[in-house]
Amino acid sequence: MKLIEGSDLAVSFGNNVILDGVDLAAEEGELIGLIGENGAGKTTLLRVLANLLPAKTGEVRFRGDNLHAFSRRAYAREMAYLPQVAVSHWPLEVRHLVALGRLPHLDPWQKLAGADLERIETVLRWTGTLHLATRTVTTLSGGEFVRVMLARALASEPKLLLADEPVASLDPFHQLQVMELLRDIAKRGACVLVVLHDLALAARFCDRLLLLHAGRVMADGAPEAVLTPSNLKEAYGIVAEFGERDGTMYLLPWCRLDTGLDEGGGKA
Amino acid sequence: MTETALPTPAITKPAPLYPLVILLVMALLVLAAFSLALGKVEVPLLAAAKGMLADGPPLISILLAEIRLPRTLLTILVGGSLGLAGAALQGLLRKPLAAPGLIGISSSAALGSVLVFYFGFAEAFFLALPMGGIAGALLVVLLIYGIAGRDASILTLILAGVAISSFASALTSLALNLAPSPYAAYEIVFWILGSVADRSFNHVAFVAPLMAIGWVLLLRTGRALDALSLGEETAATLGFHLPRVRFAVIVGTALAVGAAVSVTGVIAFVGLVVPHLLRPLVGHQPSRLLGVSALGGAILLLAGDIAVRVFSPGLELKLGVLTAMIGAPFFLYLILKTRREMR
Repeated sequence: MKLIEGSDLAVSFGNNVILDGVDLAAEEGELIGLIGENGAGKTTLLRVLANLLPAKTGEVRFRGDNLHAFSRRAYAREMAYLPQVAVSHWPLEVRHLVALGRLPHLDPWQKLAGADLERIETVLRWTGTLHLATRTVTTLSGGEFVRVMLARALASEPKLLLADEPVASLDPFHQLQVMELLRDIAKRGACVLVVLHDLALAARFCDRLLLLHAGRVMADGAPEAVLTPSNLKEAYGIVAEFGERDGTMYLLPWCRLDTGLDEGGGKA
Repeated sequence: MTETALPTPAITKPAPLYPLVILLVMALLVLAAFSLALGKVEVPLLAAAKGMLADGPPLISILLAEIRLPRTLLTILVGGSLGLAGAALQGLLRKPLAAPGLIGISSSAALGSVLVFYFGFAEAFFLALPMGGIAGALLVVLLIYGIAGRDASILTLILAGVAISSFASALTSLALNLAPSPYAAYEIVFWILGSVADRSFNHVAFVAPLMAIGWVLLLRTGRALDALSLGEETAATLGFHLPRVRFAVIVGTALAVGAAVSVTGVIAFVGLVVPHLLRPLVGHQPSRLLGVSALGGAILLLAGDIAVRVFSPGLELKLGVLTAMIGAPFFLYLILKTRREMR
């Protein structure tokens, strides 16, 4: 049985069709990159899977049951969602902010117990933010803040992690760190669905890529099978340079198609 | 990397709240005793307490039980309601400048009561006045949430509050303008100025149950308000049903503040100042702010009521006037402090 499945998902706002018959299935242990041009529907798909947005047609099944069968709280114990623009409206201490990730497991008046604190310490260590535990979130750098927010999402021990562009604002060191972390999370048995714009990171770290284009799934499979020159041309309108190191493919977006530049570069 | 070189703090439980709570409760008790003892007739509290049990000087017992005790109790209830409602509203809207007075809830609750009084419903049935206050408050919280609930800026929120406050005040002034008699005009002025003087046990009995329901609704939202620190979508994915949370805060605020204003008139700025002062002491966590804000509100209002009695015996300064005189400059200070956000 798949952990999460979506079939024939469609979403539209007014006359704008955002998702149009999207099918996907993901298992525990998979790190899946959700890629596609701006406006392809990646965030919308993530929000549908997070039960934040109802699909107009189609259904989402978690462990084989329709999502409607789960209470918000029951699903919150299984799934964690990291929004594109994560915020903290109050200047909380890092450890208190990460502790919010334990809320799905706490009864209304129940306090944090030893197991909760251990989990918080673990996720802070994973994300390399343990030394920030007593800092106020407003004093963190952009990269530190993203990693703390990722720790918050991991604090609930999710079986499914939906992360919307978690590495977009990070420097290369921390991009690699977060991608390695996501791969570890998947190896530990969770399913990780991550929206990425960096195709090189997507190719390098993801087990599988799901390429969205204009609200539809254009390709779904191993990075080598999805990031083909023709797919890149059609979905992004770009040409990429490809290479290989230690048997792993990498690529570098090189030029746009509509500039008149060809693969060799040249005149402006 | 530098990260591993730094010492790593162990994750411990959040510091317990009870030292702060005990401190606040003690302050509240001292002020309450002072409030009972204070007045034209000196009351030896210990002797009076004995007198109530045995048959001491009956006048003093009556004075205590009929005049000062209701006044003190009402001050505590109203101050607590304003502080708690302020903390909950700020948590729901995630804005430090949200407060029942500022966004027009108090003035429309006053208008609700004034209308009930003006059209003569007050005598019609027992709970008409508080009901009028609550209806006025409810209407405005819904309106404010409709305007500012999603992602409106602080500016939008405050401007909407200014507009609503002005409109409610204008209608209250209209009722004052058209008052059929000087006696009626005097009664209406009471809601504008705000006071806890000369309240009886009837007033307390009137509003206490309504406030209690409001308090329960507000206090239960603590965890959800914590989750809302991360924004509405993340709070929803943490398992909270946001419409239910909004309902609890809106109805709870309307019940607590509406009932308070209907018996004391507008007492401004308590709901703004108290949560703001206490927030740093509870690590800025919305759930931990709720209870202590109720205590803090009661303390602040008791202190204010004692101050008006000490500094202006004879022609007593109205409590609402005093809190406005202290609160408004504080509000200005807050605006200056959060100026960057206001842009």
